[in-house]
Amino acid sequence: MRLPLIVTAVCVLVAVLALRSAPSQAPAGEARPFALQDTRGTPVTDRDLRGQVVVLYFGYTFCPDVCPGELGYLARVLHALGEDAQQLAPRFITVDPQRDTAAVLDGYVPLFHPRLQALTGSPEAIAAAATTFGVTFQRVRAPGTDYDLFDHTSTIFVLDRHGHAAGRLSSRDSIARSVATLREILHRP
Amino acid sequence: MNVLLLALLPVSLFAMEVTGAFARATAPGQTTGAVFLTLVNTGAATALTGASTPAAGRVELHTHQEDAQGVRRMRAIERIEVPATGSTVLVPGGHHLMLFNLTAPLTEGGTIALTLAFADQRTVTTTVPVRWAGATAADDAACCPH
Repeated sequence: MRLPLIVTAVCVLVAVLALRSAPSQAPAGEARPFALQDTRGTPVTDRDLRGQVVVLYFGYTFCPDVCPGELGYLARVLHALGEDAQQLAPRFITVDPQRDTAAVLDGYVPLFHPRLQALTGSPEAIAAAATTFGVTFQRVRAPGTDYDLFDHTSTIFVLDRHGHAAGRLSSRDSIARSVATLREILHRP
Repeated sequence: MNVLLLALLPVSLFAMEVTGAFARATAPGQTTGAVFLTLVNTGAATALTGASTPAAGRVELHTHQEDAQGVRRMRAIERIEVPATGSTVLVPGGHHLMLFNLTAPLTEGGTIALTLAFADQRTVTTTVPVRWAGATAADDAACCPH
């Protein structure tokens, strides 16, 4: 006759323990692991950027319109954040390591913002990172041309301080809106 | 006799104006660049069919298409229409002039000479200022210290 009482007590105990261990934070997205390198060849993984809010854009420097436009938008947002920008890790990931050598990347990112850094890697590592973020990119050569272009998803991704997906920024949004979005993520525990 | 010949010239000969032109700064080693501008036409309908500049080996006309998944596709096009008594804009995200084989990096604060060719054999030469790499308009000052 005591069994149901014990079972009930155990269930209650388990429930209480489960509630106490549940983190009380805003819902976070999935983890976004990546294994890339900086322009010196030093490995940079998602874990290396924990503690900062990461803002990522995949692109290539041969692209003269969309990529500079998105990075320019990101630069404006970083500028508008003022001191808060110190807690962000803005990164440009090249999908074209063949043309985007370390020297080119080192000269490119400072054109936009002093905190913007480039990440690169092997084609396989970059493809893996792109897959993780759901970024589509494809090398194309239009008939009659002698150069490669990349058709690519153009999106600015945000990771919270724990490396989890925290949404996106759109250059169609006002600077103020993107600033507010980033400030909210910065203030999460 | 010469005065009579001048009177026979089409009015549209001097009717194309270029406004708001700018190029974006590039880094050493970058081989491509972009120029944006507005064409203001007070003459007959025509089309921009080509361009050249001493700053680049060649210039192509380009535009963008974005599919439903947000994938941008940039493609070369043969001509950009300019309506009669109207204007056509080449702005970020839309049409632009793409410069290939830059002879030197485009540096902010500098200028490049640009010659535009039109379907009616007109050409227009203009001086294009170079703005910061993320500029979206000709009057776009650099936002951030660098």
